[in-house]
Formats: sequence, structure tokens, C-alpha cells
Amino acid sequence: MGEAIVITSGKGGVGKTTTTANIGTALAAMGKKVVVIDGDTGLRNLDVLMGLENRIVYTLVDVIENRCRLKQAMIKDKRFNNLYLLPTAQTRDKNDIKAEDMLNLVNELKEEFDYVLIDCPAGIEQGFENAVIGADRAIIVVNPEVTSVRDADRVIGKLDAKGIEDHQLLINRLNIDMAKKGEMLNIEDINDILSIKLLGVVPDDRNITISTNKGEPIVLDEKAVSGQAFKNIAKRITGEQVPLMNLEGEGGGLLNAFKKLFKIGG
Amino acid sequence: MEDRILIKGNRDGLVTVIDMNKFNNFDDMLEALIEKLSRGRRFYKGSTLKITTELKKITDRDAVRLRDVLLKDFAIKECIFEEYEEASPKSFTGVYEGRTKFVRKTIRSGQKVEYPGNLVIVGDVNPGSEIQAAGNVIVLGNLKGCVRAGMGGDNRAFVAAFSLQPEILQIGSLVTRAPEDNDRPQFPEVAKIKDNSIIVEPYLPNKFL
Repeated sequence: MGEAIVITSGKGGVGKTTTTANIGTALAAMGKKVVVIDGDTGLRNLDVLMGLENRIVYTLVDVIENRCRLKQAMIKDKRFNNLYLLPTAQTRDKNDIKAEDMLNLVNELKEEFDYVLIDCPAGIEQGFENAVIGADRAIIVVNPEVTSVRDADRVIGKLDAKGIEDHQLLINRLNIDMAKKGEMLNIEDINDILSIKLLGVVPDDRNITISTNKGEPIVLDEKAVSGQAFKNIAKRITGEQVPLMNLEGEGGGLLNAFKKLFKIGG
Repeated sequence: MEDRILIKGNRDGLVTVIDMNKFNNFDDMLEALIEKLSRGRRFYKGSTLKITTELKKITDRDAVRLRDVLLKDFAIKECIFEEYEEASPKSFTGVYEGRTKFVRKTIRSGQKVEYPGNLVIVGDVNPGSEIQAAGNVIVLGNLKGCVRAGMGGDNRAFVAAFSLQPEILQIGSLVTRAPEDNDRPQFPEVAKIKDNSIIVEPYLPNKFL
């Protein structure tokens, strides 16, 4: 019996889908059997990030409405045989799916996979309800911004009310230089408000944009710091104790790039 | 003292209304009830007695004891328990000593806690949340949400927090908004009403002034 994890945030654009794709890929690279579910019906993106957009024939909505079997809708990843994507429909909307159907679907997938990752849409309406119903635990993605933290707080409250009390925080797009200068919230500021367990910190990295456009998750890039951060997070999800990465001395320049490389090794 | 236990007759028979709040414990109440019933022992014999009280304040074991006493000592035929419903909630007057709810979690944005008594939050009260109490509000953490104390109209209520930075603070009928300067004292503070306006002072006024 596997575990279902919902990746949520409340606010849009903080990197939920990127997180889902990368953690899913990293877990698969560790040999786990993983399925990532796109919960953002009508605005699907996860397929693009994984580079699988032109392989979609059937979707989650087709499964729920009995037009195909679950196996037919699942798309095997290009790189890993133990990683699958369950895409959602682009021509329907979130109200077309009932939470109950989603729960059954997730429970069915949990039988077969080690990890079922659910990419939650922004907002706290039906799409959110559908994404969290089957989840055993939650990863809350925040950016170091007041708006993102406030929305995350609301979402944590909602999850608590639903009985999902195992939630962990992922701080995405942290610019350590700005945080140091006090121009951006730092890890302590975020923890002061949210006071939940920190799962990991992903530094701001322009390579993510490139990887998104190419449809190759950043964890496949051995050199990227953000990729390493996602790999560490994936390890922590499996229960491994990995210390937080040292993000000091980040910044442009060749020297810093070398420094980064050495830190990954160490 | 006499309104602690009221015995009245109506169409359904005899109804005993017991206000558990006015007794220290169950034994106290039982003693008073026995005393009251003893005065008309013969009158109650063979009758059906309905006990109306706050049932959650009586344990199952105590309820059995009460029934035994009534059936054996007073030869009452049957005893029925019924939940007491307050016709009109009386305004809360326990700001010095009275019923209190303890909440051991952080109140997050969008959540609301209300209680017709004093409220103690062991956790933070985050921005975007609401806390409302008929009595005092005490927060063992950061109070950054919206807080209303003394909602029963009691102007003696106060709000205290380790870090008192509410968005809106209301005591009784007075409401204030947080000042916009960024002074953040490092000690706990208490907000209360003085001369018809809300004042905020350190939790021990002489310690930090």
C-alpha cells in the first residue's frame, strides 16, 4: 500500500507543478514506483513539464466517466519505467469531477504505487477539494512572499479541518542574497507565521524556466542546485535524514558557480 | 441559592431543573437535591421525575447513582434525563472567575473560534483569523488576527498576548485598529478599557515603564 501526497499552496504560480514533476522524477530515479496526477483540470500543465503532452489520449476524466480503463489513461515517462503520469482533461472544468470519484481513483492507485503525487490547483474551491480528498499527507509550497505565506496559512487551516495533519513546508524560489538583506522573507520569518515542519528549501534558479520549456525536470540536470534541492527533498519524503543544503554564497559569476559545484559534492 | 434546583410540575409530570454551574461537584448537587426532595417525600412517591440539566457535566456513573437514590430512597417510579436548553443565553459575567475554553493549536487564516466565556489559545493567532469571546482572551503566542473580547457587553474584559499585534481589537463595544507604526515590544501586553477607551500596557505595568 503506497502513500498519497498532495502538493498544494493556495496561491497560484509558486511552483506546485514544478515541485510535483521534480519530486516525482527524483523518487522514480530512486527506484520507487510513482504516479503523478494532474489535479488542475482545465488548466493542465504537468504533462508539459514532464515532456509528455503529445502522448495524452485518455485523461482522468475519461476514467471517472468510464470511457477507458485506468491503465489506458496512465502515461509512462520517457526516462523512467516506474514513473507514470495521469493527466487531466483540458476541455472540462474542476466542477466536472466529484471528490468521491477522486478518492476512489487515488485509493486504487495506492494499491499499485509506492507514491501517488497529486498536483493541486491554485485556490480552495472544488479543485482543491478533489486534490486533497485522497491524500495521506501534504506538501505546502510557499514562495518567500507575504501573499504566498498568507495563502499557505489558509490552506494549512483547511487541511487541518479535513484531518490531514501531516503537512510539511517547501520553500521555493528563495533568493538567499535578498533574504539576507531583508528584502525577501527568510526561512525564520516564514516559520514564525506557519510553524510547521520544514521539508526543504529550493533556491531561486533560472534553469528551472529552461527545464520547464524543454519538458525535462531539473532533477535530471546533475549540475543544477535547484535539482539537487529537489533530490534531497525526495529523499526526506522517503524518510531519509538529509541536512538542509547550504545556500550561502549563491549568486552569479563563474567563481560562485564553481563554489556551488563543490558544495553539492560536500 | 434556591434556584440551583427547581422543581416544577407541568403537563408531562414533574420536572427538576438542575443548574450544575452553581455546584462545586456532583456530590454537592446530590446532597442539595436529597435535602430538597426530603421535604416532600410523600409527594414524590411513585411519580415520574424528569431531570433537566447539562448532561455533559454528569458522568454516566453519576447518572446511575442519581437514579438509584431517586428510585430507592424516594420510591420514585421512573427518572428521565433530559438536556437542559437555555432559553436565552445569559450574558457572561465571569471575567474574574468563570468558564474558560482552552485551545491548544494555532488559529490560521480563515479560521474562527468563538466561545461564550473566557478563551485561552495556546498557539498563535495568525492574520486573517478571528477570535471571539464573551470574556477575556489570552493568547500564549503571537496575536495577529482579529480579536473580540467581552462580547457579552462586559467592559471589564481584557485581551492579553505574548505578542499583541491584532488587526482589529474589540473589547465590549469599543473597536480599534492596529497602529501602523512598527513598534513591536518584546514583552507580553494587555489591552483593556480605561476611561472609555482601549489602552495597551505591558503585562506588568511597573516592569517596563
